[in-house]
Amino acid sequence: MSKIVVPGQYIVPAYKLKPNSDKQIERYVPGKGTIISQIEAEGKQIPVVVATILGKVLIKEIEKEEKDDVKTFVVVVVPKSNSYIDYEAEFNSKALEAASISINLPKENDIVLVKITKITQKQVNCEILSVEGFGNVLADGGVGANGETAHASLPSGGGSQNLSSHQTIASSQSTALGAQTDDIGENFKGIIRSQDIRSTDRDKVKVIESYKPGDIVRAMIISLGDGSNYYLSTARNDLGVIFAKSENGSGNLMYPVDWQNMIDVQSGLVEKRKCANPFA
Amino acid sequence: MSDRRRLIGPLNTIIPNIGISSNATEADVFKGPSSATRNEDGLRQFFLKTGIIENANGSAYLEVGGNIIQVSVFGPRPIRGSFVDRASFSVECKFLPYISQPNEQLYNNTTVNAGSTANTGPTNANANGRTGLTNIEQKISSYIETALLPSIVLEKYPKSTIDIFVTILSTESSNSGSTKVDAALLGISNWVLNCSSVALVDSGIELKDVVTSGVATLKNDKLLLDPEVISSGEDNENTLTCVVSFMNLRNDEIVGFWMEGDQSKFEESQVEQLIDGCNNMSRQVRANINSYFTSTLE
Amino acid sequence: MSKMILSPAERSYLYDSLTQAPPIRPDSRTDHQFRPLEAKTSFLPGSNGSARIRLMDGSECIVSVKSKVVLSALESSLIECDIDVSGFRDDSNFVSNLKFYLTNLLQHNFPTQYLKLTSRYAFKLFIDCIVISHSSYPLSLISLTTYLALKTTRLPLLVSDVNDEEVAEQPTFSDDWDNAKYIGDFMKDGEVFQPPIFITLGVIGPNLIFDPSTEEEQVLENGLIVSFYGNKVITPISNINLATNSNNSNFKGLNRSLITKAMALGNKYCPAVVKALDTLIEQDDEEGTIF
Repeated sequence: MSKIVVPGQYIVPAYKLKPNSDKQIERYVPGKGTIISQIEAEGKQIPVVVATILGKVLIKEIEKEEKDDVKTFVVVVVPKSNSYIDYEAEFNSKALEAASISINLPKENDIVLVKITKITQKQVNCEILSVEGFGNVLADGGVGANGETAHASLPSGGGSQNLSSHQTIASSQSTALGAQTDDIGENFKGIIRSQDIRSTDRDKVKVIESYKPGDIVRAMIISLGDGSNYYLSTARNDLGVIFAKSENGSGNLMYPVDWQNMIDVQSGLVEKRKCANPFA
Repeated sequence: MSDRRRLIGPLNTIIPNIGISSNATEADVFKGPSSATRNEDGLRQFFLKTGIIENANGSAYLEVGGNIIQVSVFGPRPIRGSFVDRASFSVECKFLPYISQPNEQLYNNTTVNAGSTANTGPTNANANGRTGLTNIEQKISSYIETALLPSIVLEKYPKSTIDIFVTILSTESSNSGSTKVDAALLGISNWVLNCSSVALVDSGIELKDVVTSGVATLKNDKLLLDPEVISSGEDNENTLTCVVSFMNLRNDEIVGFWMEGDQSKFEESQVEQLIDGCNNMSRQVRANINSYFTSTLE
Repeated sequence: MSKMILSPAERSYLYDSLTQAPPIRPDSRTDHQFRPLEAKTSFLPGSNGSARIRLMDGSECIVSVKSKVVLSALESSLIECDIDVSGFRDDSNFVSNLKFYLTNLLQHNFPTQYLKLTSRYAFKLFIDCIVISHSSYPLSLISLTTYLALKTTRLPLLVSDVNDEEVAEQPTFSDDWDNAKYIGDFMKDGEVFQPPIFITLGVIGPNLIFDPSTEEEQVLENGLIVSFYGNKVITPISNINLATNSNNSNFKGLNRSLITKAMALGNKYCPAVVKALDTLIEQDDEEGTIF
C-alpha cells in the first residue's frame, strides 16, 4: 500500500545508507511530482526528495549502464486523477529529464493528440488536446474562466472587471515580457511544418493530401518553440491521422486503408491522408 | 384653508413602516455558527471542500466564523507573447458587490452617508464609480501573490500562466466603516491565503510546500489566536495584530508578514510572541489540511 | 522608468557579492546607507506645503499638501492621500498598493489633534504625490518626500474663537500669510513634529540592505517595508516582492530572525535619516523661499 503524500512532505533523503550496511549508499533521484529541497537539520542543509503534488509515492530501482556500488532509485508521485499512467517507461536514466517539466504540460518527445485547425502550403496549425498517458492538458475542456459564453471580444483578465488590464491584478512578473492570458479557453497551439509530416520525400509533401482541418492527429513534440506554438512532427509510422471525417468534416467517420488513404465506409469515398499505423 | 398651489392627499392617511430603523445593534448581526467553538489552542473550526468548480483546474471553499471564501485556480494555461521560461503568476481577489470591505471608508474612499443611523447601504465600488478592484482588494491580492509565489515550482511550466481568482462571499466584520479594527482585514487575508493554498494543491500544480497562515493579536499582553472580529467597542488601543504565513515543511520560512497595530511602542519580544502564535496556528491549519487531503485520496 | 532585465551572469555576480559578510554593493554603499538625494521644499504657490526629491539616477517625486476646512463630524479621516506614478494606470495593482501603504501609515501615525480648529471644524490635509520617474520601488522615495512636504506645510492662523460650542460660527483666518504656522508650531512641550516614514529593506542571504537600487532588487530573496515614527520603528511592517514586473527567480521565504533584525537596524539607523531630512529643511530655508 503506497503512502499518500501532500506537497512539501519529505519522502526520502537524496542519499541514504543501505539498510544493514554502513558503507553502501543508495541514491534517490526525483522523478515526476517531486523535487529536491534543501532541508535544514542540526545546522546543516540536507538534500531531501520532497513531494510537489498530492498523490501516492512510487519508488523503483533503475538500471544504470555502468554497474557501480551505488544503487539508484527513482521517486515518483502519482496523482489520483491520472488513472492511465504508465510510469514504467520513466524508470530509466532519463528520469531526471522527465521531471523538468510538469506532468500535464507537453514537453519534448511527448506523444500528443492534436486537432488540426488550419492548413497552409508550408505548415499545419493545430491545438494540443491531450498528452498521451497523462490526460487532457486543459482541465476545463476549453471553456475558460468565463464559461461557455466566453468569446474574443472580452478583454484579457476575463471581463470580470470592465477596466482591466493585466496590470490591475497582483502579478509579479512577465507583464513586461508581454505574457497575456487568452482567457477564452484556448488550448496550447502547435505547428507541424511540411517537412516534418513524413520521413520520406520530405520536400515533395503536399499538405492538402496529408491533413485537413478537423482531423485528430497523433504527433510528437520536437520543440517547445516560442511563446505561441509548440513544434510537432508526424514523421513516424505510428504518427499521423487517427480520426477524420470525410468531406471536410461534414461526412462520416473514415477508416485508414493504408498510410496514404482513408475510406468513408458508408459513401465509399476515399480521401488522401497521412495515417497513423494503429498496429505496433 | 385649502392651498390651491399644492396637491394635497386625502386627509385620513397612514404612513407605512418602510425605512424605519429596527434599531438593531451591532451585536445582533450574524456572526456565524462557529463563533463559540474553539479548541484548546484557540483555533476555530473551519469547513473546507475542494473540487467544487469543475471548470477550473483547482478550487476550494472555506467557511470559518462569519467568513466564506471561494478560490479557483486556472493553469497552467497558454499565454500570448514571447517565450518565457517560467510561468507567470497572478492573483485576483474580489469581494461580492454588496459586502462591506474591512476599513473601506478609509482605504476605498467610500463616503460616509451623513445623517443615516443604520449601516450605509450598498457600498463597494470605488467612490468614483469604477468597477475595477478596490484598494483593499488589491492589497489582499498582493499579499496572497507575494506569499504564494515562493511555493510554486514555476520553472516546470514554461510559456504558461497560473491564475488564481478569489471570491469573498461573506466577512464577519460588521462594522464596515470602522478604521479601528485591524483584525478584520488581517483575519480575512489569513483565511484567503489558507483557502488559496488548498485550491493550488487541488489543481495539481507542483508546489514546493503548502503555504499556511496564522493570525494573532496581542492586546494588553494577552495573546489571542485567530481573533474573531467582535463589533462595537473594539478598537486598536494597545493592540498589535499580525498575519504571518509559513512554509511549514521548509524550515518554517516566512513567506508573508503583515503587522499592524496601534501601540506607541513595542518590543522585539512581543513580535517574537506573535510570530510564535501565528506559527502555532499555521501548523494546526496544516495538520487539518493534510488530513483533509489524505481523506480525499482514500 | 527602465525595465531592468539582468542576464544570468549578472544575476549570479550580484547575488554572490550581496551575500558576502558584509555585503558588497555595486555602488559601494554600506548596508545601511541610503542613496544620495537632493531636495527642495515650498515651491508650489498653490499648496500649503510642497517638496521634491530627486535621486542621482533621475528618479523624482513631488508631493503637495493642501488644506481645507471641514466639519469634523462629516469626515472619517482628516488626511487623504493620492499617488500618481507615471507609466502606470491609477487602478493598477502597483499604484493601489502604494496608496494603501501611505494611507495606512499616515492614518495610524499622525498627530491629527493639531489639525483641529474648533470643536466642530478641522483642517483636512490632501496629500498628492506624483512620481515623475522611478527605478527602484518608490515607496521610500514617496514617504521621504511626504515627510519634507508635511514638515514645511504652513496652515493659516485662526483668528476667530476656538470655542464654538455655544455660538456656531465659521472659522476665520488671518489675511497675512506671514502669520501662517507650521504644523510643528502647534505642538507643545518641546515636542518636535516628525511625520512617519517608510524604509525599504532588501533581504538577501543573511543580509539586510537599506534602500536597494534597481539592480539589487532583481536578485533579492525578499523585501521588508518598515515604518518609523516618533524615533522608533512602528507598524505597519510587512514583507514585499520588490522586483515587480521582472523575472526574479531568487524569491523565497525569509527567516524570522531577519524580521527582528530589521526592526533593530531600523531603530539604529533611521534617527539619522530623520535628522538628515530636518537638516535639509533648515538649509533650504536659509536660501529663502521663492515667494
